[in-house]
Amino acid sequence: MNYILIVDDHADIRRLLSIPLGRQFDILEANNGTTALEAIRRYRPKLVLLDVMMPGELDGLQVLDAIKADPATWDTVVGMVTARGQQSDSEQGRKRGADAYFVKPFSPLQIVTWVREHMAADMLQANANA
Amino acid sequence: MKRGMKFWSESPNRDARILLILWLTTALLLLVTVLHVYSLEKGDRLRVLAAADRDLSNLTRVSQEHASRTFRSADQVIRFVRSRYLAEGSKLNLYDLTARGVIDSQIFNQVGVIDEKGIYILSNLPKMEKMDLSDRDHFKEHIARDTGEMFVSKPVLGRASGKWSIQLSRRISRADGRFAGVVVVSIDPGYFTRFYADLDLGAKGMAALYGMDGIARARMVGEVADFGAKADKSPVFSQLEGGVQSGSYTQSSVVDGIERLYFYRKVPGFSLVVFAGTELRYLLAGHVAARDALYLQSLLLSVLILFLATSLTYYLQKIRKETASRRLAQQQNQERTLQLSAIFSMSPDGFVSFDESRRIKYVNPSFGRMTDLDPEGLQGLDEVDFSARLAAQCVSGASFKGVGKLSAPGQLDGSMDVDIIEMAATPKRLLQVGTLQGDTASVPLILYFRDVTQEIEVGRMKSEFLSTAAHELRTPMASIYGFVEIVLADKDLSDTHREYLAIAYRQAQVMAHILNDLLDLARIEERHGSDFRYAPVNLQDLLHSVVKAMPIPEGRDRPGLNVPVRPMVVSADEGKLRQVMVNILSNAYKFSPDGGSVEVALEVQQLDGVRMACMQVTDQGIGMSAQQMAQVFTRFYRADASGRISGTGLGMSIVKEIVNLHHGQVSIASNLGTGTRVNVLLPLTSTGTAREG
Repeated sequence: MNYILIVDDHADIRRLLSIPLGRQFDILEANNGTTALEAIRRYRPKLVLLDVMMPGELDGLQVLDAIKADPATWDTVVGMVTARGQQSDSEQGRKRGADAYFVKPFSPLQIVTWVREHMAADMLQANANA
Repeated sequence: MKRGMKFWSESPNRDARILLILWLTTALLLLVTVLHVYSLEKGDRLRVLAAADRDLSNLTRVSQEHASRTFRSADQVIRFVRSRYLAEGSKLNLYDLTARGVIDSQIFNQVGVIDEKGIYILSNLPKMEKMDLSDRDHFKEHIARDTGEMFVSKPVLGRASGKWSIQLSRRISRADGRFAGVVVVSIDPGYFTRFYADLDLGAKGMAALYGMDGIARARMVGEVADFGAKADKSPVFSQLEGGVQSGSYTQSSVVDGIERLYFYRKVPGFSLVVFAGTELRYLLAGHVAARDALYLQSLLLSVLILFLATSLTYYLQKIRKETASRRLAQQQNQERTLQLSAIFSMSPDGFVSFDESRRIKYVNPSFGRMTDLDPEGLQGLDEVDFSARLAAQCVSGASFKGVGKLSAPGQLDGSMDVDIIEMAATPKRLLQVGTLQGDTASVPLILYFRDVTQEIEVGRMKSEFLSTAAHELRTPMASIYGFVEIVLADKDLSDTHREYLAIAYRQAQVMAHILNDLLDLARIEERHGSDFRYAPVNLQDLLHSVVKAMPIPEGRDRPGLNVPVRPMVVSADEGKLRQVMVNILSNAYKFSPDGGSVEVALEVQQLDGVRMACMQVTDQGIGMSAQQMAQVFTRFYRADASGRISGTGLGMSIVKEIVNLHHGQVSIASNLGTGTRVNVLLPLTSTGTAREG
């Protein structure tokens, strides 16, 4: 299964992303970092949309670090979604291995386009492997 | 100050006392001088007179003895002749007796006998003429009775001889007491005056032999002898009648009017007095000369004393006046100083002032409280020691860099670089340090410290709040914006609904921009440029890339770019500079809705002697009034009140913040209707400075 994991503590934001993406992809949702990591290890989603600022033990960047540190998950495509719009933040995210950086308020359609590009490439690759 | 006041109020009294003492002393000195002169003069006079009195006393004693012996020897002759005449009668040969030396004729002109009828019958002279002398005093005196005394006549000028003589006579009495005639001895009064001439009595000194009748028998004044002078009016004779034997007195002579000191002695056994007198003027000549010199001396001394006292008084008054005015000035100065120190000591801000030798002169208590340094202990320190002391009180990261490193005076308006130091004490304390250049040499430098902990804290909280608020708004904004977008993507939407949602979508975009700008501004303020990453930025490259990448409104041309060939480099955060230029350029397009070109230029400009890079953006838009220009950098101010031109009103505020943090300046020139020019000046780095010409 080609899952997409949407991680955000706000249900509305999760819904905002799952509505347009859910039409084409299988969606998993998590509302905090810990749950997100569990879901990633269990379901191995191809792509994760990760909110940076979340309450709880792990924030988005720590989850990103965990994904990239685990050889089993390091190739997961990660798009960071954040309320922090500073240039330095996005650079930090990219440096740690994020594939894209979306600042709230974002355009869902733009994210769908981005996800589609990556999933298509991934599927092509998967198909080629198969 | 209290002591000064007291002294001041007492001063006139003290001066009056001093003056009183001065003049009393002066009067005393004058009195002493006069008394001294008086006593000297009197003493001297008395001494002179006493000496003269003694001399005269001795001289009169000599002349008394002389007269006494002379008359005794004459009397001796008279007695001898009388006894011989009584024995021999008219046979007595006086000439023979004289020739034989029995009668001493040396001092006597004549020795003779007058008979009872008054006929001069005997004489010791060889040529003898009988003559009637019965009318003469020395005969008549003896007729009536025998007085037992020798008669001494007044000097008589001889009818025949033309010589002065004094007749000495005694009565010749028979055994039965009958009058038998008179023995006469004629004596030359010159005999006395010649003796007197040998006495030294001065030029107008006088020696004389007087009878008790006040008639001079012989008198010598100076070199001149005279006989028969009448002095019976002189009171001395009445005294002599009273039995006085000798004495002295001072008197103007009844004979010649000359004032003399006289000494007199009675000749014992005869009705005669000897006098000796020295002219007072002659006597006192030396004394008078000395006295006059003394008078002159003492007069000069008195004048000198008076002059000194007057001068002293004058200068004392003058000094008093000067002292008073100086004291007044000093007092005013002191009061002003007190006022100033009171103001300084009450000031919540810290002050440290340096004196002309650039050492600490004054530290106010607030500075001590702010820095936990003892103001007393800082006195006299120089700039280096002071900087070290202060730096020791600071946290290492925000330490005091030293007096010399402070911003130039006059840049304390807040817009420029202000030195902020953080004290090591808890709670956290932040001080703003400024310098004031004194306008006098005595106060060349004042350091000024303001506790800005609160302000900075409030500023920080404000920025933090702004940042948090904007941040928190982003998530709900994301929902609104995102869901509207999703709905808008629905093909089944009616045209009306699509139009409405499009408006909501557009406005949500504007809101997102505002949030971005607010966050940018808050972050810049909060961090004060500490997150800026400075690097050499080539402005030509920067402008090229901005102009190229800039989203341009539809139907407008890209900005024209005019830059010099030689690279111009500034030290800057490239991203921030890009933001500056994008904000200015987007304003240029927004505020020229009717088109026209937008030009970007780059050149070198001098600002206060510093070479600056100047980036210019010129549009041909609606421009601004002076009033609008004054507000350009005010947050949320929008030059366009119509709402037709979208914007957040924060763009130029961000520009200004960023440029200021780069030590640069933003200026705007604009005219309503003709367009606006924005200049951004940034200091050129020395290595990147384009040298022209």
